[in-house]
Amino acid sequence: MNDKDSAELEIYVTAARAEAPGLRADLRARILADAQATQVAVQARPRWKGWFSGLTGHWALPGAAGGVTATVAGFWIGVAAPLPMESPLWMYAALEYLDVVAVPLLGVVDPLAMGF
Amino acid sequence: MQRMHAKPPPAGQAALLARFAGGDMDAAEALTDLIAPRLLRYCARMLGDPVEAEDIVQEAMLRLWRMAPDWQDGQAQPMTWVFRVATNLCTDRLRRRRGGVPEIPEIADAQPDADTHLMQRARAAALEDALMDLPERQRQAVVLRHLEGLSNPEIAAIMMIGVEAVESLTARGKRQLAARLRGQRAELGYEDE
Repeated sequence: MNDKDSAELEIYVTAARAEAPGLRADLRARILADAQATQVAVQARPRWKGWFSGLTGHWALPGAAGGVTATVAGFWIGVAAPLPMESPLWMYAALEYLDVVAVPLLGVVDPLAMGF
Repeated sequence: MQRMHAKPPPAGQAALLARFAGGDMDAAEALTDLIAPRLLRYCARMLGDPVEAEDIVQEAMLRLWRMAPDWQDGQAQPMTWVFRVATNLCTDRLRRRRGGVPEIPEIADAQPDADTHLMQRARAAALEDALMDLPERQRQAVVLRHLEGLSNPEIAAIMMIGVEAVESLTARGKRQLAARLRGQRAELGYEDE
């Protein structure tokens, strides 16, 4: 491309810049209405959801819920199931600990009644 | 002319987006005034249709607003990100209409008392016409570089290619434009300049 071509192209480009459409007021208003609506939606999110999301991202909540369920279920199975006769002594000691320390501390005997 | 190329430093755009995420609508207005006019010109030139371009600008800006609360500082600048979104939306539209004849933006009736303005409009229309004949990627690069004044690294980020590829696309695009416009010198008053 020679200098003459470049100079000529620049004239066209200058003309095109000058004639370019501007942002119409109604489009600007629509864009800002979208912004407003988005902001309202974000602020309407439950605060705890935002807190969890902020911590580890959007996948955190189902993961946390699953973890709580598994913990409670494991805890309950451990408490409710009778120990076989051949269980080692430390298992009896652990159950004793639950009865004496953990259950009174939690305030309930049935962990499923804790509202999880 | 300088107004078209003026933009705040990169940190400014991200800061505005953070302010918007925090509930500041003034920041949304500032971002809209900064990004939307250039985005509209770009999309109109990519599509050859100002109405479709407006739809895409609104959609791309909406995606930016939704992204704001999760925006990570240090990633692409908001304007680069929005241009990339709009580029993809334009590409989708162009694919959908493949086989159809691209529409050239309408030029409003000229004012009878402004010969120079008439000539300028004719030249602008000729350039828009020639742009629509360029391959899509060349058109993107030429519009972003020479009409919107973006830097090559910015264009590379938008088009997701290397800077050298941008230079190659713009050079080939300019050559084709020049060849296309060469035949219209007398008609468009270039020989009088």
